[in-house]
Amino acid sequence: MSKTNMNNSVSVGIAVQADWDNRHFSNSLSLNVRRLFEFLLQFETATKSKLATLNEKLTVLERQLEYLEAQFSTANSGQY
Amino acid sequence: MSVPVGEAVSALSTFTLEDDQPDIQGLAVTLLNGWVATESPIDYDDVQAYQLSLLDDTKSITQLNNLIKEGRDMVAILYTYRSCVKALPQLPESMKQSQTDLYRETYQVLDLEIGRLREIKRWQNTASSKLAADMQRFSRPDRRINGPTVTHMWCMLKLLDVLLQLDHLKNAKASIPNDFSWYKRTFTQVSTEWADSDSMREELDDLQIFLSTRWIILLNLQVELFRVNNVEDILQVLMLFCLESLESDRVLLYSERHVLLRVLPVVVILATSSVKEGDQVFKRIKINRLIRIFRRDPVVPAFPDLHIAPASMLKELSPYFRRFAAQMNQLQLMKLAKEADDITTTQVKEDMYMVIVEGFQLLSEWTGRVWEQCAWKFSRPSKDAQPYDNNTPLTDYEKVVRCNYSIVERKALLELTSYIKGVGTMMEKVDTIVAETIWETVHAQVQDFVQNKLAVMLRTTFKKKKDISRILTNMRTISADWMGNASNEPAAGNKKVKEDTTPVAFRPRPAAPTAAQLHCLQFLIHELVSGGAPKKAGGFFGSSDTDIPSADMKLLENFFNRLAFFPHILDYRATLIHVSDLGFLWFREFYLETSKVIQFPIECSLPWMLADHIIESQDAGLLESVLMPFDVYNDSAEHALRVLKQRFLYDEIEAEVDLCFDQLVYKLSEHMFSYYKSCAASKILDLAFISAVENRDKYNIFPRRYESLFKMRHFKLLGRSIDLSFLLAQRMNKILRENLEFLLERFESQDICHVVELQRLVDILKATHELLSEHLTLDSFTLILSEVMENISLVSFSGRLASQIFQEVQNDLLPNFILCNTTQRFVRSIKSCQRPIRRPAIPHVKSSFMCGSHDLNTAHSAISELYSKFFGLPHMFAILKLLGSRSIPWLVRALLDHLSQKLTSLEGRIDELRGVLPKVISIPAPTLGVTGCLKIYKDQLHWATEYEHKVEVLQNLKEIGSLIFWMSLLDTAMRETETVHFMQVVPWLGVVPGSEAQMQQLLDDDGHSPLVSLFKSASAAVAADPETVNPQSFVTMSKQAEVADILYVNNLQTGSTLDYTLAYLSAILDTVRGKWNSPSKTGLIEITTSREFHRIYSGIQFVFCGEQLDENETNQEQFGDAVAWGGCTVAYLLGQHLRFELLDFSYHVLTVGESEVNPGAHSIPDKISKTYNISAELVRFLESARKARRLNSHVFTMLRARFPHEDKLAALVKQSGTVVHRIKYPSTPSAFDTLPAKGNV
Repeated sequence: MSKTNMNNSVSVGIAVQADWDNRHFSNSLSLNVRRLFEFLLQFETATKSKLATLNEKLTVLERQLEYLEAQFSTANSGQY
Repeated sequence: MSVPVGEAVSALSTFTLEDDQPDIQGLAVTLLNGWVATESPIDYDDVQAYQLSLLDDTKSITQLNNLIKEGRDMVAILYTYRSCVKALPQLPESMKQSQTDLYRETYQVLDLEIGRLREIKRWQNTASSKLAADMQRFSRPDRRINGPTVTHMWCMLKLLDVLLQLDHLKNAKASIPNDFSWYKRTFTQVSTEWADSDSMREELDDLQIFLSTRWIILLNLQVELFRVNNVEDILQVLMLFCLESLESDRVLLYSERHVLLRVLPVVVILATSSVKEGDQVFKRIKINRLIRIFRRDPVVPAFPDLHIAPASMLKELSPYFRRFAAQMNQLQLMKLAKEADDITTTQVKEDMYMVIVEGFQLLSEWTGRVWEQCAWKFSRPSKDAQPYDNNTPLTDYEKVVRCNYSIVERKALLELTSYIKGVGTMMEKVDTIVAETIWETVHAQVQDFVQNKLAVMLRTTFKKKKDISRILTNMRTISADWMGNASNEPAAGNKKVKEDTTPVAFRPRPAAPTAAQLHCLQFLIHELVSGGAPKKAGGFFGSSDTDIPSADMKLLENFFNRLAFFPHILDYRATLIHVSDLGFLWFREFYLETSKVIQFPIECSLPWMLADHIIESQDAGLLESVLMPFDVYNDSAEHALRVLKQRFLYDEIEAEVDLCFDQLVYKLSEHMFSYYKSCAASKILDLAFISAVENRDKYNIFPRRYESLFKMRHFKLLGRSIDLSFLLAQRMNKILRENLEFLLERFESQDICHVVELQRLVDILKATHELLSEHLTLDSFTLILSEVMENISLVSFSGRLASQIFQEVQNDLLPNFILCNTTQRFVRSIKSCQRPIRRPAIPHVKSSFMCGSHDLNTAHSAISELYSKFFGLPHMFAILKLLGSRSIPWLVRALLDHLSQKLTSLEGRIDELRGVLPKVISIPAPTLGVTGCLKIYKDQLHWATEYEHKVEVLQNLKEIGSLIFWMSLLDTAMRETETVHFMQVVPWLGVVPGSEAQMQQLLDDDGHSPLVSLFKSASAAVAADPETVNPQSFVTMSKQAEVADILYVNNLQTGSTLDYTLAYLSAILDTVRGKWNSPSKTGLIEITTSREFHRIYSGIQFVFCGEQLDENETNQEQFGDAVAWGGCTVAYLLGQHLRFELLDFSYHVLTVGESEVNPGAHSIPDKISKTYNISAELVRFLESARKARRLNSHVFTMLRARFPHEDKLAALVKQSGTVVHRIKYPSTPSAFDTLPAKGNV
């Protein structure tokens, strides 16, 4: 009885040890995947804010163009 | 060879990802990205690997967990249940025959819903019986299985909680029995067609009993529990467990604490179902412990808007607790945890871990408190709330939410929300950074315990006790990580380890223990301290009858408590999201049902109330949290979608968020605008004034931090990314235009004197625009200005404001104002409105459209008020500034056209007068005395004094004179502006005073002005530098400098508007010159028979000096000094001013009068009246004539200075005796040559 118990506990001990090693590996893997993911998200936010700035600049340009167009078309209306 | 993953990933951090958006939003991550599994799967599959004969226990844990999951779905269904009956259509009279069809359809619809209820009923039955069976297994004296483990107890408690929630919901939702009774009615109608409906009817009756009996689920459970065997043992264990956990703060998550609080009374009730047993129980458990807990948390939140008062539940269910239920104090729960923790990466990882645990604890505590506060508020509706709208009474929801939060409470709630969200965001950001540290720390703690502490215990205390040492060894076996420390590993079969007292040193390892490991450890410790007999426990660690020394007991307890935290900390992200979830603030299903409305307005919605409070309260400290309430919406939407799984709730939230966000942007931009407006207005106020004024603080604007809001470029809301900055800029553009429009409308509804005010306000607006442009990308002010002024087109020169000013001058200033030559001002003539002007009504004044705040409005309007009653030089400057060089020429031209019209209309009248002019007007001899002279003139000047249109002629002359004076004012203003401009420009152009006071341009060696040569040399130097990236732009710059040079040089010498006006008038007069300028044939002056203009004007001036034309006011008051300006200018331009001065009638009378008395005397009329006792009329005449003469000579002097035409025109008597009257010198350019061809001259 005690013998089997002992054997059991030894085998459990060995299995636990192997499990620790495996878990160490899988944990670091998952952490790195998460870091990659995080990077992508940060990249996305950075891109978003840059795009927003760009968008704003374009809008301003567009409005200025419209303004110039209005100025020009009235001055030139005879020719169209 | 595999890629070194760690290196590759850490290389990513070398990228710089700029994002200057401040962190003033919450996490907002879940819904947006769906990148987080908010519930990490925890399974205990590997428990059996540890061979602790926990198989049965694990199985029932899984079973219970499944039941809990199912039960939560049921709870969600019940909570979000909305009455179907309300939506059912009523049949109109005409369609009564299809009533049966309607019943059938209704039945089908309702059947679906009622089917769910049936399922709930079935489920609660099975759940109760399973729970009861589970409990009974542990209650038998001969306990066959190991357990219950701690996890198992939690499962039981949670299942109990779910059952309780279900029961409570069923009680609270009135719409369920309603729908059911409707269903039953349709069933009776429909079932007549069916053959076998008896069994269904029976089942329906059962269901009805189920639905209508209060607390039936718990009663059922009680019956189930006590059916076979008594289960007091396990119930007592559970009760103890609850109490201990509540008292020891072993619980990390607020939700678990709430579970305990909710379940505790149930357990108490179940355990004390009879009086006898109750007494037994309370022998072992002091009732005071219960009372203390219930008193601390009188109200426990059950659902977002539904609370459970444990006391009242006990009151309802148990005969025991009437006493203390009545004694419940009203306790204010909200205690603000002010201190915010911050996560700094400390080098000591233990500290780091502790900081994170503390963070979680704080977050959990805060969120829990918000929950409790909400529950408290729900349980105490505001009693003395006033309805917002007098017509509609307050709904219950309004009473508990809208009126129930005082301003202080709103602020506190906001601050708490910001704390929770802020700390949450911070912790979320460091997730992947701290993950390793956490794993290492947990690993270290576990290993330290099992390898060091347990080793010591094994060697010392428990060496002799086989049972206990077996448990300890088991603990070591299942969780020790020897990691190469093979020497410490107990050799197989050899229990004698080395007597080594030094603690084992082990390397940290970023690998966390599994849930099963923790579970088993917990179980084993529990087993250890309770000695395997739960019944005996008077508390887990408190019992004294174990044979474990207290020091070891302490160690065990510490570790046991830590174990409870580990799963949550390891499941970092899920815990974080759970403890910072404030979505419950929005939910109101329960109140929707009782209030019988489809949805509440946003004013009743707590998140919006908070956001609105920030905006309206203008609390500078809160401004940056204005987006936090919107994160609550994120949480709510998340909850609706993922927990309650109800699409319609999400849709409702989305609709509300749409509305609220629009409101937010609208309100925010309005407030920002008025803030920056008042900043601008206070800057523009005179500094000397501010320093002299008494309470100057009211003109100071205290700074508000809108800056961070301006930077929000990707604000996350319901999964969308919103560019708040862009939206604000859009609104600002609109507001700026509206404001300018308003200012113009306001000016249009007032007279021209308000042009100073207009200019001031436009200046303020421009300064506001400048301030805002620092943060937002706005349209340029010129663009906005020209859009509103309606002169965008390149060829449009007039514009809205210019035409308005012209109209005002033409219609109001010229006819209705009189000129005062001394003050150089126009003032409104006394006789009110000679020509009424119809103006639009003054538009409604919005304080933000003026100067922003009330005090500043008052200050600025007081300044503007000074200029509002006259027109003078300040107004001219304002006009000049507003119109600019673009519209001023147009205005001048338009006014000159008006001048020529006036002259044309004058021409007809003058011709009429010429017609009635007598052939001879003799000059009375001075010997006749002043009275005689006057009388003779009066006799001869009947043609003028009796002329019916004399007022009109005077009016015309006045307008011409006013216009000329107006032009001279404009000239003065322009000269001044241009001189300033000139002084600024000349140093750059190299202009220096030369000989004979002429300007002389001093050029540099290369023949360029200083401006051009500066830029040329700069660009040459830059281009020579080889490192210059783009020399082309510098070359362009130097070319532009050349262009600027040419432009400025040409602008240096500008003409004078007054000179131009006079030349123009003179040119117009050329058409009438032949008529009005008829020199005598002889070349000598015709003294008595002249029919020239000056004679006629003399007549008019005689009238002006003589009788009073209006009975109410004097001629001076009616026409002012402008008549003299008009008449004299025309006479001067016709070259008749000398003859006028020589032959004027009034002058003659005046000269006679003067010669009669002492020539040097000051007041001739007085002397005359004293000496000769002459009439008052004569006195008045002499007085007026004297004034007129003085004024006339002033005008002539002015004109001679500005328009010296002696050079141009002169009469020449040739040697032969013939007279050449007008000689044009070729050197003087004719006015005609320079005039544009337009106009009917």
